[in-house]
Amino acid sequence: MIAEEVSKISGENPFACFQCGDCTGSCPVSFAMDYGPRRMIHLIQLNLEEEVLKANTHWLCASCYNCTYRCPRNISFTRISYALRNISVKRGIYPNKTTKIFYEIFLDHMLKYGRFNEGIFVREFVAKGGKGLKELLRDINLGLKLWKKGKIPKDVDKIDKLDQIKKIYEACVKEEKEDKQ
Amino acid sequence: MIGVLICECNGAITLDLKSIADSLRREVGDVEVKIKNAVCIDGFEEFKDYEKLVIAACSPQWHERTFKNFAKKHGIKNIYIVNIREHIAYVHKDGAKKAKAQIKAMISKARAGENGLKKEKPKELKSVLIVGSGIAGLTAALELEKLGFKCYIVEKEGEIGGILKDVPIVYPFNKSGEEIIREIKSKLKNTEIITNAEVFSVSGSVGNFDISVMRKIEDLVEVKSIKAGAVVLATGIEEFKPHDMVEYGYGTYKNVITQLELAKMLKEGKVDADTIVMQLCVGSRDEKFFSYCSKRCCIYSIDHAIMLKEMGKDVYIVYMDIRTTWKSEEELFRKARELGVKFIRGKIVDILEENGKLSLTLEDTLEQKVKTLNADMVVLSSALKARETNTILAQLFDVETDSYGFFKKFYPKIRVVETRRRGIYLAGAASEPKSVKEAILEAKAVAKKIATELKASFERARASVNEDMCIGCEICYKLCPHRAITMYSAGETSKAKVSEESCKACGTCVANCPTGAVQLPGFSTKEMLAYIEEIMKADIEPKIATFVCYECAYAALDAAGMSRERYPENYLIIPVPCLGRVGLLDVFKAFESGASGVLLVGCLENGCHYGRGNKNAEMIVELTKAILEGIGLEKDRIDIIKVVNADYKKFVEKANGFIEKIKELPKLEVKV
Amino acid sequence: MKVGYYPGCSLKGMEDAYSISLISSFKVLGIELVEIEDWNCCGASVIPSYDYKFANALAARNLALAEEQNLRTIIAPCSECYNRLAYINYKMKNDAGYMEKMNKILSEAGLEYRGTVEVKHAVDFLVNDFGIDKIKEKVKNPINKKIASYYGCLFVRPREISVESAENPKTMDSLVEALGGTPVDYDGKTKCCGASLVVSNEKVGLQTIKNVLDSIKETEAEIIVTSCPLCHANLDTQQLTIEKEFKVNYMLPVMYFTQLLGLALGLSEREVALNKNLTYEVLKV
Repeated sequence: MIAEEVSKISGENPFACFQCGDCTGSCPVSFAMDYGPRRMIHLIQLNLEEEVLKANTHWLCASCYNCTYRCPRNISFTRISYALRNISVKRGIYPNKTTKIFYEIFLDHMLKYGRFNEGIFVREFVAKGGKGLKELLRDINLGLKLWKKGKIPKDVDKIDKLDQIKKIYEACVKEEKEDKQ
Repeated sequence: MIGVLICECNGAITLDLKSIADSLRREVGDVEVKIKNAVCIDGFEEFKDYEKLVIAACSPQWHERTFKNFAKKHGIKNIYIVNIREHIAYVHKDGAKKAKAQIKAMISKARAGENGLKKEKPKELKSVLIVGSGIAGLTAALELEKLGFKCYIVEKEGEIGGILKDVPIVYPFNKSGEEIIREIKSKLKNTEIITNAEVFSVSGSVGNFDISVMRKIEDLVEVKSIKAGAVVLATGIEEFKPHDMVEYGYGTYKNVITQLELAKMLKEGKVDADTIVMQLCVGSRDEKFFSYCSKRCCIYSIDHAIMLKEMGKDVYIVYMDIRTTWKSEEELFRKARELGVKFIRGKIVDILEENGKLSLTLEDTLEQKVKTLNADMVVLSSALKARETNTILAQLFDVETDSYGFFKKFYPKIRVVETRRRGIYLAGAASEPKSVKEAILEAKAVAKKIATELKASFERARASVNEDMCIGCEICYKLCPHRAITMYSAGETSKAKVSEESCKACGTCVANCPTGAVQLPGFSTKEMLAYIEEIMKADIEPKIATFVCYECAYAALDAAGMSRERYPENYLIIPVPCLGRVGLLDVFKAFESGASGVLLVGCLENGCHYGRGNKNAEMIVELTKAILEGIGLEKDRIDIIKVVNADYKKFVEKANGFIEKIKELPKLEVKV
Repeated sequence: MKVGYYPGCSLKGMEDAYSISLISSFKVLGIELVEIEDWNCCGASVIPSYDYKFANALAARNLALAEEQNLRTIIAPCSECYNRLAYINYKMKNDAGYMEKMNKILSEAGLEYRGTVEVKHAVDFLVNDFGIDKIKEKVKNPINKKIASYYGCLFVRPREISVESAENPKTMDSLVEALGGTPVDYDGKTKCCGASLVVSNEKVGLQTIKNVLDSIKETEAEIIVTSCPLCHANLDTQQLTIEKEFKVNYMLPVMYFTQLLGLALGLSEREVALNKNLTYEVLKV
């Protein structure tokens, strides 16, 4: 049941929603969403998993917490979005190739360095095809400017106790597995 | 000689009653045991003039009153009812042993007790002080006058009428609030209205309050002393001013107003706008402000929309849900729709002003679209909230308020005009938002309630203190949920005293008194211990002492019986008026006498009929656990469960589970 | 005065101008920043999207480290980092069950968090703890310009950890005023800059940035100050992309509040790394 999964991950209770529309009205990106947050919660309440996971809503959420701030029932759609992304990722569903590449590099950095290295990221992102040719050409100029201003770091930033990060990650994965059983 | 009467209930009590009667005769001395069918119809004249009679029959919920009437007729002073139907025959396959034990325990209790019921004297004072002069306060005064009371109304404003005086039209009366107020006021003959005044000190108890009222006359202050037998808190409600909801721009934009501000404009017949948008549920049903529904906004917003429509305006109502519950209100809603008031389901998220025009952003949740509306005026149907002065009044009158500042009803379903203190009553919206109709109903109810309480002459039990044994520890004083106990100084120490008028006989003081100085007839230490000792002689193992309060818990067990839900007969019932009556002494007496486990059954978390008896009981459970652990015993031997009668399955489930846990524990060996 | 410091990845990477100016300007005020040793990335908005629990545990590790290093108050200059750390801190402190759950995970790495650390946004710390008056005393070069303070989302939301009211925040404006500037009022102070969308959904992301820039442009502000590297990157770095993409012209110089502060306190442009901003040249026009 999608509703249960969402609750479990996010700690939010989507069933408390009474569909006032405060969230959708105050969402800065609802104009681009398949369904606004309100309809999305309604679909979750009805456990319409396919419709929910097919929607672009949770991927477009900008994590601005406007909906959360306004909600009269104290529900955070931002956190529900995170949960929906978790569920999608576990099923291998991404909204586009760019996001997939972005997420994979980010997680890789987390486990390899304990920090996000923007300099390496840009290189890897382009190498893996994260940007289309058109955008790439447009951004070349920008890239050069950044480089000239010394904004692209050369050194790798890495933490000492990487094993701690790995152990934390393993603990989370293990708990997840136990939950499934 | 104690009489014992066992009812056959037309065969519904499927126990071997004859052998129960025989063994009672054999095992208990000085009793007269009889079996009879349908005691509720025929009465029990054969026990005429007995001092004490134990009746084993159905639940007292059914026929306690019938039996009491028969007892009066036959000259029997005390009756004790044992429920062998719902609590035994209906729920256990073979309940004979338990039935016998329960009856024997009740006999022991009867033997240990003495007649402690006292007649309550009617109060002499026939005056009532009413705080607030809205529709509830005025109506209460009118009704009380009819019953022969003199009334004083204290109003903090300069004008009477509360929130109602500004309302242009009141449904279903079709009159303005002002007119309604004027009409009632003109009927008052024996009521003194004191405006610009506030209560500032209170002493005394029901039947005899001394209240000082401070009245402002220009720059001077006049103090007035009033004697009253009872007090009605009818403080009403006020409108929330939504300055904190910055998205609406209330207070910044001149054309964003509240519904009551519109009411004043409508009263004067002048609204300077063509397109008007109303937003319902502003601050109401919003957990950041007031999570409750303010109940009246839907209807008066619709009222106002109709008035505006009739003035030729373009009116929108933005709503989440429309709540028109009475048949007349639904008709009004229909009328508004027919007149062309536009209803949009959604919530305004932002208002901007440009050149005097307002532009509103919202999601129309039916059209499923975020859109912009333009308006000349936005009217916010703002939440109705408790009066801010309630907190001070609650302190003065020693009653409770809820987290929103509304006065707490003594029990939300059946004691809505009472507070925890006898003599202090509620009427109207002082306890939650109400319609005019409901406020009037409550005002009438409160008048009748006061009349019965002040004229009361019935018999009832009340706690009292043995002065010689009281050590002045103040435990009872602090725990009494009804503030019926006061401390007075007696030489070097202080002593406790129970106000007979205020005591509601829950027994919390008795359960927690370290010396046994305070006692409640019917549930005195002596009676309880005799009962517990006897019931633990039951020939059942393991035995679980089950303390059951006479309110929701007892009813839940009855409901389990009515539905024929089975649970083990190991649960031996020890009824108490309220779980507050269960003390450490009672719990350990049960263990000492052979109980392997103890279960406390009481009302829901916030549903205690005596305020906080179940919370005190929780404390006793925690203490017991600590002591059990301290002396090397298992702390799981005691547990508490809170139920309501409709949810009797919860009790049955618990009963079936708890016994398994107890069975796993080693048998309890208590050396005395 | 010493205070714990959680820089976050951005300040160590492309947005080091923020950390350079933060350290140098705080030094003038006599505030020494003690960096949490071996801190890790807060997870930003990506790790929570990937694995919410892991992300929260990552934030908790930083809190545990700060506690271990006896740092009672830590400041996070990045709003995203602030949001992650402060929310998990709030959640752990206020929900015993959650505290236990998180500590179970942390214990695998030999760590524990007991809830003794306070997380503050750098602006909040400066204005509300250090104090506006003390700053005023040290101003050498008042910045006499119209300045738009951009707060973004995570400075004011969600409610549990918001520095101040989301509807009309004032903290940065009061700082601007203390530094001699004239704060301008506009509608988009806390509108979303679309931070996380710029990578994952560029089209929508750029549109949201444009909305913010449009509402600032109307105010005739001469400078935008920011308090978050992500907001900054979007308004500063992406300004050029948007100008190209939408064929508009903003010419709005963007700087960190710490850069503005440093300049007012008498530091050189170099000392606050002002030339690292992509809109630096606009300032010179």
